[in-house]
Amino acid sequence: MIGKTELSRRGTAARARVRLVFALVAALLCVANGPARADNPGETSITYAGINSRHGTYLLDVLVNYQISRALKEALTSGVHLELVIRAEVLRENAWLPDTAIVEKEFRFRLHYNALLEKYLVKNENNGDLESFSDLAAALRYSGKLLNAKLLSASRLEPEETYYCQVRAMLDQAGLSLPLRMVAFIKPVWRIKTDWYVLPLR
Amino acid sequence: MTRPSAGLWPMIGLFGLLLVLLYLLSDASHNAARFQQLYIVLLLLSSLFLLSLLILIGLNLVSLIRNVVSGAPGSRITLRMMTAFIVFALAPASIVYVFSIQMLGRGIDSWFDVRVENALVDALELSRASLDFYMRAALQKTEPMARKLSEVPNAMTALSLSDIDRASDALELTVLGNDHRIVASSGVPGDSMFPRLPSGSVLRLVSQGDTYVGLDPQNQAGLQVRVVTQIPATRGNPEPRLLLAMFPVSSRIGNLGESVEAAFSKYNELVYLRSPLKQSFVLTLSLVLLLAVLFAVWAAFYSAQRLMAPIRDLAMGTRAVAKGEYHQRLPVGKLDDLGMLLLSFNQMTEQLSKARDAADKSQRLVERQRASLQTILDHLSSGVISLDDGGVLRTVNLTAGQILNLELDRYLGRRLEDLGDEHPMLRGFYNTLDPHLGDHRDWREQIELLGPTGRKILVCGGVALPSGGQVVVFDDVTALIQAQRDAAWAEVARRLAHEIKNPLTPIQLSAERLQRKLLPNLEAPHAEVLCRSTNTIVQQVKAMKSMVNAFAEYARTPAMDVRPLDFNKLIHDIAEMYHSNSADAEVVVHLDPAVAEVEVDAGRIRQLVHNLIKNALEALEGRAEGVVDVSTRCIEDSGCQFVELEVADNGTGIPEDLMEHLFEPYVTSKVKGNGLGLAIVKKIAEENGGVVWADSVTGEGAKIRVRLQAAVRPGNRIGSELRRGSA
Repeated sequence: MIGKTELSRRGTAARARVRLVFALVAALLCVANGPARADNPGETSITYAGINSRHGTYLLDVLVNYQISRALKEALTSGVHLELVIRAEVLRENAWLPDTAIVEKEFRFRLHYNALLEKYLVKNENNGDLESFSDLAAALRYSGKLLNAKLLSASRLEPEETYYCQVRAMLDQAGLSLPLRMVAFIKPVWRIKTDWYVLPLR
Repeated sequence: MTRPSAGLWPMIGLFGLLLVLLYLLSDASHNAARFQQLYIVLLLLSSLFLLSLLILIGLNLVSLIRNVVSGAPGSRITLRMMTAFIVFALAPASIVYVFSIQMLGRGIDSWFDVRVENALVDALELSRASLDFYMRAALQKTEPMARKLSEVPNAMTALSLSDIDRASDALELTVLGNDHRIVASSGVPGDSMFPRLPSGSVLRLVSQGDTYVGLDPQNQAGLQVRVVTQIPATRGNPEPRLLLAMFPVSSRIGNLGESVEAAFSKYNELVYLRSPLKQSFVLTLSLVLLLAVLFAVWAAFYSAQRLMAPIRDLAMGTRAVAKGEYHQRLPVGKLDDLGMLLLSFNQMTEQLSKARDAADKSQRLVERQRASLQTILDHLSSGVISLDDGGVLRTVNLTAGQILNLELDRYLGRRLEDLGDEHPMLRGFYNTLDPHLGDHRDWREQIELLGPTGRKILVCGGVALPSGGQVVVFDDVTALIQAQRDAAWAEVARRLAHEIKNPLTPIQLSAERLQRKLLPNLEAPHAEVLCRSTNTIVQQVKAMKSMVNAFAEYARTPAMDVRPLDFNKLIHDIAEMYHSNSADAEVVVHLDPAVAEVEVDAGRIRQLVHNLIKNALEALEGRAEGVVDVSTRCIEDSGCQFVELEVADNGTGIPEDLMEHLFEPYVTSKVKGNGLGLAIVKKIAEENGGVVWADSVTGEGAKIRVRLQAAVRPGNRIGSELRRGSA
């Protein structure tokens, strides 16, 4: 697990470098950007993740502590919809080749503010449940909580192989409206993405 | 030669790539899925494209500036064209860009209107007011239900709740215990096992005695009013319980409310996105415009270079032609105006090349002929020179230089008259030629020149050249004439010796016999006459014999015994004899220690010196304080080393009329003497490879100079050659 965490850390660093290069190039192109304001809400993180097996099925529990910036809150109350995604992958370790993903699942929550009801509505895109919350924190807690989410059937795992699960939470920028995508690409406050949280899978 | 047009393809390719890039960028902007996949990649590709264009333009610019600085052909006009192109491309693009940005801003701003915004807010408020009505109604319906249930024990609550539910329009009724556990429920939809409970905060709020009324959106059922209130505690139910009631909202009101909310949200979102939207459009527009402008600039560079290539080629070709490189052929592309110009240039250079080849061929032919002529001239025994009308030396042959004892090659291009100052011999030569230089008639003259090797007799002939100037041919006939003269004198001497000497002995014998026979028989007066007469005859016969012997000696050609000789010693020995024996005149000797040895016949040279000193002493006879100065010195002339002997006297000098024939036999100014002394001197000098000449100033004496070749040493070979040549 430590090895995977290290791999994950290196991968994250490499991706951060690529992101930095992209951001620099885009910043060159974007001449109309105003000065960045200090708007650091803290890192969004996965506070808990666990897998339990029940009746031959692996179930996933995840708790995400979403931290969103003032800019996102402002966008939310201005009618912008946010898609918060918990992505889980089950991978088989390979000796020489990159690990193979055998399951890729996304648990998608659509968060928006309803001005008529003056409530934050969260729709679980996977099952269609719609919940309303008077405060944003409750809506984010709901969006970041997975309990007994079905991951995969134990029968798909081969006994001689080694598997692990990795989980991350993020804001899906593809769900943003078009002009915001460019802004989200350029401004870090619009980027919500945790590192991979790696879990062993027995 | 045809210019390849392949260079156009990169530009067309880049232009096509630019169009595809811009199309994809535009397409991605309108398609969310593709935007996510492509937009950033396209943005990066565009940036790379932009960077590539900037690098290309930069390289072209640096190259252009370097060419301008170095003065490369066509660079300045390329710079001017480039400046014009860029100005023409940038000016309209900038105007369009500024107007587009303004139009874009105004267009986006025009979407927003305060009245619309106010209307939407009002509509939202109206919707809320309408929904509040439903909420108040729901509360009013719920409170009696709670009071009614307060008296019902928990065990009977389900039954009572069902009755209440049937009597009301509630969609769902639920009673929760103090611990928020469900006590009873009624009207729960069939697809759900449990009633949907409000959040914990709501339950806690209501547990404290408050009442919650709110609108809850349902997945399929639209809006519903949720009421949560406390069921008052009674004696039968001391624990307070909660009543949850769900009431429907009119679907029409609900839909309208949702519609208003959707419009409000959309408008609000647009207001929020106004700035990012503008930035996004400006970015895209700027990128597109920048790409287009930079591509135009690069295309301008490319076009200018392609356009200027023929002119540059032409300029370089012209320079090459100016340097005489006529083989230069310029690549000809399309047969447009420039192409025709290049074609004409190529034709011109081809003609020039052919003409030059022909000229070269002719020149080579002329050179060959000239070389042949020069070879012929160099091997002629006659000297040949050519002069232009100004007397400038144009051509000489080897023999001319040998005859004039000069390296005439060095003086080509110089006026012969000017050379006369440096070489007195040429002065006389020029004086002879000068009258004929402007004359186009042939001429022939014999001239005599006095040079370092003595008197020269040249036979000259001149012919006018068609191109102006003259060619002069001359022969050194000195030796020939001298040989003829010597042969004539030798013949005279031989005849004299033969014709005169033979009768002299009988005459002398007869006179002596007459004297011996008759003298005793004659009386004193007659005897005296006879004696005097016969003596006179005998003496004259002796004199004539002496003269005949001298002539015989002159005519004789002795065998030469040439050996190295210390010239100074010889002179000193001979002069010493005269110094002690001479009573009338003093013989003084001045010997130059630098005088080298000479290779001569010592006996003959001794006779020559004797003759000269004796001749000088005879010239001083009867003159007081007569001095014969015998001197030697070393002479360097025309690269040769000579030994010169000068015998000078301070007598009356040699009469002018004798000077010309001084060294011919039987020429003398003295009463005594047979006139053969100097002739023999000349003969001996010539036999030993030397020359002799005389200088005289009337009343101041005469000087006879004999110049002999110094013994051959390294560095004297030319002189030796000259001597053999002139011998």
